[in-house]
Amino acid sequence: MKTLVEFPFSKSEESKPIKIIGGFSKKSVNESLQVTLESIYDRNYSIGPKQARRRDSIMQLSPDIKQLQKQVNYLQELLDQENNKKQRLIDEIISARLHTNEELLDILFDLYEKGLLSISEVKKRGGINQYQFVYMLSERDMSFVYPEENITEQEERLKKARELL
Amino acid sequence: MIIISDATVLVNFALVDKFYSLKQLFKHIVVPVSVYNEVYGDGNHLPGSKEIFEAKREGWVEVVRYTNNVFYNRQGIRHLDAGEREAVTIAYEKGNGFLLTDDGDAIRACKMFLHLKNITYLSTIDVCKIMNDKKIIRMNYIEMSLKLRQLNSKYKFRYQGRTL
Repeated sequence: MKTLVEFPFSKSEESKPIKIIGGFSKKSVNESLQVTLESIYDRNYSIGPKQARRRDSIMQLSPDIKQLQKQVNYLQELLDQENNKKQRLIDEIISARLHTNEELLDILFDLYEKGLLSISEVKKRGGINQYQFVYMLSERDMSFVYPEENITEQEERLKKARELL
Repeated sequence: MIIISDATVLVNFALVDKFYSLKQLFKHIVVPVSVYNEVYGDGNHLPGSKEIFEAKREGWVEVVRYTNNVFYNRQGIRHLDAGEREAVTIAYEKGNGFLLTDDGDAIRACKMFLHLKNITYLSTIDVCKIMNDKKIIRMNYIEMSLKLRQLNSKYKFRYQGRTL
């Protein structure tokens, strides 16, 4: 006799034996087929203590993952806000210094040297390309400025590059 | 493994006549359209124009367009110049490789958004060090830096219609 199983299992019922709810004749063909397919899927999923334990551990982790994702999104928003604030402050510094008749490029390179602007920001705000940037840097006897990085981090990057290249 | 570059590293190597050493180390480099245009310039007088044109023709430099508009317009990279922004976006799309850049914000974006995509950044200093180790060039970064500082006696660039 063909047997049908109840669907879906709730989390607490997963380790209980399969419950027979009735015979094939009481249901329409479509319904029976649907329930049978679902039952096969669900039975495969719940069968075996190893899989059940694995699913349990995933189920336990998922709220943490969601929570962490929320935290990451929140931190990202904070970073974006800080970045906007920084951009506004730089705009204010530049416009204030322009009022004292300083050249825009002098201001931009000064801010670059202080680590407040990146190469791309200097290029974008100054309307210059990379060649002009390097030339103007050499004209001012300045070197490239990089974000601070600890030695271990740099060594790790170089080690990876040496291995892969 | 993919190598994506913005204009900074390419131009530095072109300016010290070591553009082809990039081919020896990386074999294949992907550059965004804006970066190609920036390095190529008007195609004549710039130190990297001929080199990048030839490299593209030879196939070891590949010009690629970004497709991920959502990432391209996201907050953390929106303030970057076009070349750096496109390079970071393509690195995000492709994943698994290296991003060649000297730009502070592109480096920050790489650390923030690209480390999960297995993208590591390399600056001109890093590339110079690796090339020295592999004996591709006999020039350390200090020598390279000194050469870059002497550019004003070697090249003439134009800015806002006047020669610098």
